[in-house]
Amino acid sequence: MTNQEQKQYRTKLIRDASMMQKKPDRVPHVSFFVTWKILDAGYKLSEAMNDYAIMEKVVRRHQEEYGFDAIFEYGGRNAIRIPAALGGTTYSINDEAGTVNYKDKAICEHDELEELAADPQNFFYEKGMARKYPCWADGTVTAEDVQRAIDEQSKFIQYHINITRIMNEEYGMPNFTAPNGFAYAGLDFLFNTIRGIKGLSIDMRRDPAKVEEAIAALNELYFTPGLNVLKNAPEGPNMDYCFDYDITLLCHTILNQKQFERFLWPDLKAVLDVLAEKKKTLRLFMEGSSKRFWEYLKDYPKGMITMHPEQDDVFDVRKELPNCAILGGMPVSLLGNGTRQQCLDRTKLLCDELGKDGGFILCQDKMVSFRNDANPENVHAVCEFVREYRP
Amino acid sequence: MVDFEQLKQSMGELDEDAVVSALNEVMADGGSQAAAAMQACQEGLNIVGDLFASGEYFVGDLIYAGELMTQAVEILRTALAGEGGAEKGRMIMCTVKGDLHDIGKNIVIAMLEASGFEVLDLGIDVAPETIVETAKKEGIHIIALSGVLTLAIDSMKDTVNAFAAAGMRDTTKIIIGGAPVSPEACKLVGADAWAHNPQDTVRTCSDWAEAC
Repeated sequence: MTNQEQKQYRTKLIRDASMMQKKPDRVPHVSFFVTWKILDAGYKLSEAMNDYAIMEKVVRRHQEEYGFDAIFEYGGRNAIRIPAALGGTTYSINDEAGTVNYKDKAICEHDELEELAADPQNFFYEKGMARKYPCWADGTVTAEDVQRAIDEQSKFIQYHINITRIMNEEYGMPNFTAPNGFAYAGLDFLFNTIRGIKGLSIDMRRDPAKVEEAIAALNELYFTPGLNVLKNAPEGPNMDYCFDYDITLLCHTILNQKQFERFLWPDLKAVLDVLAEKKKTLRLFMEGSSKRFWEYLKDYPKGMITMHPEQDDVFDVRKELPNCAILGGMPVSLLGNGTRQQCLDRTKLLCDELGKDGGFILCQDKMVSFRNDANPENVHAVCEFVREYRP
Repeated sequence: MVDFEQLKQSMGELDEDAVVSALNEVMADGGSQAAAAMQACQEGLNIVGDLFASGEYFVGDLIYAGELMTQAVEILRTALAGEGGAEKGRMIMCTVKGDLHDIGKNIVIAMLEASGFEVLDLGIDVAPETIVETAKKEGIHIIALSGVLTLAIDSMKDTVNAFAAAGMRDTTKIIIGGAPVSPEACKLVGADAWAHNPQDTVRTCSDWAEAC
């Protein structure tokens, strides 16, 4: 097969599995390896994350070594150079231990929610930037600093354009998600960037109405425009991509049922309804356990949602959500600590039980980040098995 | 006169205004009922735990409960000085080496303290040798290790091995908790128990404290 044919074959494998209309030629296998691939290639995290030439070598090697059908991440998840240009330290890297930690930092205080809701952009400029970047706080920020951050943003985008082209043309890799806009729900924005886990937990109890006001204001700026792009997209799936849309949900991990219904579900439902109306597909990664919210997903059309559960049992997903395709099933704990045979047994079980009629894409259950998350020998064994096996 | 049964219920319902108002009333009355008020708050926290176990509350509610409990202790602090003690004894809790997450740890500590433990919080990113040395120095036999990242499993294993190397494994009970923890991980680590929620941690540690 030429690289172009390979790309088409892989895209079709994943489309067939996710849309649940046809059993794919074999079970597709997606890489959810993130920083692990840097360590696996013999580099320090800080080396690769600060140098796009090294990151390109890392991504190339990852595919040359293991031969996945798609790679979720080409080295851009932890974009450290952009905040670093302004002296920000969102990520904490420890090269000796091979670890990267994300700092949960609130840029807005509880009693500032009203001010945030009144004018989010002004709030970010006046207060948010100062709390994120010391040079903004002490007034020493210069036009050169800002230009450097903008340049870093450009380099980051350019790297992604280049690596995507390289992986398409030289490795026959499919593109993961179609460019259909990006609707960032206000609550997830508050959770991830503005108030943090602790702050938002307190806000939702102490001042739920103010949380709603903040969500509405943020949605006007970010969510609604993104949703409108989706609404105006042509009907039907874009078959040049594995998925039409991608949602990674994090904030549900702190929500009780009532909070989910009040603060998140209206926005999530809005996106899901448009996707259903437009006959498009979605990969939905839900961090932690999401089982308590599956009820909300069970009535969407068959093959619209591909569930990627982090902690929940994939066999439960198939039983409870027969309308959803499944991405996942391979525990990182097994790849890291299990034997080669245990990994192969698990892979065969997944292919036989979940893949025999289609609707299943093998993938790791968690982002594979740290050195001991996976034993390379096990990864090789699983990749080879899936390529050859026909359930 | 504060209705302590009502205070307990208010804490269980996470009704901040009612809890703070009742505690301020206790202090305005001279603080002689502070211990009883704290007891009611602790019992209210058990209601929170039960509601979490039943699925009505979730993680955000536990975080808020921890915040409310901290506020309660702050209000009653001067009146509680010198009162009581750790009825279930002392234990250590921390987030293991390489992991900087502390929210889960702090929730569990609040629940453990509410149930009667005095918890020595060693913080985050704590090396095995620090945990072993502290346990040795303080004569503590119950250890709770927390972690969110998958690498925490390795650090938990290193910590258990460090207790064994120090000849303290047979006299120390170790529970591990957090997102990457599972029965398989517990076996791999060599811990005595595992938990995904604070209630199970409190129950296990209480059983151990009782058996000591």
